[in-house]
Amino acid sequence: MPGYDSAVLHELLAGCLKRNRRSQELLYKQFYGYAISICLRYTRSREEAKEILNDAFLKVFTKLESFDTERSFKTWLSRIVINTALDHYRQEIRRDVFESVEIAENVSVDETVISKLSHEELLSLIQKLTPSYRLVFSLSVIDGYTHEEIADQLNISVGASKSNLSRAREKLREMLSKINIDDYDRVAR
Amino acid sequence: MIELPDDELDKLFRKSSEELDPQYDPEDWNSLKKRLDQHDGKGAAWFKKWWPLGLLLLLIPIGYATYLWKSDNTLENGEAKVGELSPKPEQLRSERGVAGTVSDNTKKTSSTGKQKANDQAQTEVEVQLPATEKREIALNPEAEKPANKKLLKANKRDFSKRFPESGYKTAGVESRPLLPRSRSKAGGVYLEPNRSKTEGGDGALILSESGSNTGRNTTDELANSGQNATTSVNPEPDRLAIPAAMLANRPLSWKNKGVEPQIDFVQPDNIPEPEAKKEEVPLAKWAVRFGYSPDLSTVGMKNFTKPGTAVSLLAELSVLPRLFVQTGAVWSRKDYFAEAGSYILPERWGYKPKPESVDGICKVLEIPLNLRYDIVSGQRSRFFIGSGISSYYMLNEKYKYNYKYPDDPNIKYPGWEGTSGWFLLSHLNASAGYEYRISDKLSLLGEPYARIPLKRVGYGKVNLVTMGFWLSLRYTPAFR
Repeated sequence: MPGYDSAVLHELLAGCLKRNRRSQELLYKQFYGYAISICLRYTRSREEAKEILNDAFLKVFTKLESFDTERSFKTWLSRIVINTALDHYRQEIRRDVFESVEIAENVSVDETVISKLSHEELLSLIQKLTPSYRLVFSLSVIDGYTHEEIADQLNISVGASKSNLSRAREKLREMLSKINIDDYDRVAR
Repeated sequence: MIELPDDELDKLFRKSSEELDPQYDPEDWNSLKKRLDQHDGKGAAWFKKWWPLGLLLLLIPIGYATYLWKSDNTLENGEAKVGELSPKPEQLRSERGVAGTVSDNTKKTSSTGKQKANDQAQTEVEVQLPATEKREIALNPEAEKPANKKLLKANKRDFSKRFPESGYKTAGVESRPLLPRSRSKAGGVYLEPNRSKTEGGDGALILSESGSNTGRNTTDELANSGQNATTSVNPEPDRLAIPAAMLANRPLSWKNKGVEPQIDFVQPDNIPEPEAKKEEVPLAKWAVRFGYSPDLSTVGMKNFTKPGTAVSLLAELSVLPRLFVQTGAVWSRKDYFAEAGSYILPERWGYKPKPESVDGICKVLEIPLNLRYDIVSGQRSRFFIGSGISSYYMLNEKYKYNYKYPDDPNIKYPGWEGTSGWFLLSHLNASAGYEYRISDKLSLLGEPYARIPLKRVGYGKVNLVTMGFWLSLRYTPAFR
């Protein structure tokens, strides 16, 4: 979204600083897709993603004074969204409500071939990973965090971060294979 | 298993994430907007909405303070006028048509030759008429009235404080010439700088007799009997007072033989009636009041939402001088937020998804029965406390259930609207307030209050606490 580090964006941000609801709505609408894509990678469901999205935007609107206009708003927003998702993950860990790895492994996948997998479907594979795998995979592969940063954020060792990433890839390959097998069976019948 | 190298796998998911473009859902914005409203509602927006009320609440005590300040100022001015009377004997002279002699004017009167130097005739009574020129002063009663009033005030407020009674009880003070050392020292003395010994003074010291005595004589006598006196007035009642103990350093001067001031009384034709005491206004038996209040309702003393509105029409009956029984009707709209645990769900809910929280809007008719007691009751102001009990009738209840996953197809009850009827004696009332009378019949009241639940009310059976601040207009009918 290169066009939004522009005068229009600055105007929107100025309106948001004045707590102007219309400006806030426009900014929200503008960055909705970008922000919720991040949220979806860190959560299991769209509902959970929406919750994190709105938590993140609430922080954006209430902490906008601290944004340095010389820097990229998109980068700032992505940091806030990711941090909010990680906060959410930490809360969930405290509540200890996660499913076990075994349960997550047994989740069935959609019957589509990999070549025809849509972005949503690929994303759904990430969502089916266990939280620790999903977070490490998203942070490392998609958002470009180093293992040291991941270890620091998730309060785990660097080795555990590397191990989780490796296992996450393995799980994704398994799920992709299963999709292919299912697709083959379906066609053979 | 698919044999995708790590970088290929990463690329696949990275590309997918970048190209993913989820569709915008306006409901998400509505949800955030609500949270933003709640967030902003704690600060600026709430202030913007309610600042006129806050201003009004500030103005009431300021108005009262101004009233008190003005009252004090008026009294002080009255005292100042009395003070002005003394140093300006010309005013008195012009009013009375007589030339009173004032000690400060001694030089002047001596130089004009009207009053010959008479050292022995100069006494510490700083105002006196020489025997040769003493004239009977027949005061015009009409002209005397304003002075009387002023002196009356002075007598009440000032002189009695400055000069204790003991100062006047010195033996022989009325039967022989008054000298400084022959008087009680309890009252202190005044320095009289213009009077040297050579000019007939006693060395610049006089007692406070003139101010006090004159004030007392004139005011008491004029006030009580209407008699007018020829006594002069102290020209400078507020002169520097010095301790009586210092008198010991001063030699007694027998030359300053005092002359007893001669006072002639003339009975005025019309004796002014003593000022009648203001009639005590008996307390009114009945009163009605109309009130408005912001209504801040909560369940569990947290999660306060925007205030609702309450209006009241109450009647009050005085059962004892300071005790009123109060009843009437209060209409209120209560907006509140209740967590799921505070809200008792109906049994028919079964295993359907339960809401996380409830937003409630209730329109309530309240019938209070209160006692009000005036703890401080002034001419214009009263401070009071009140307590009682209220019954609620739920006119309309509207609840919106908030679910963790609103799109869950198993959700059966998005909300509820209806009425659950009467809840008798459901709340305990407590309040304290201030009443300011703006006229004989009308007064303004400011009264913070709280409604404390004695039982659960409404469809969700919640313990609803309400707080607010009544701004009321109270009307006291003519009949008593």
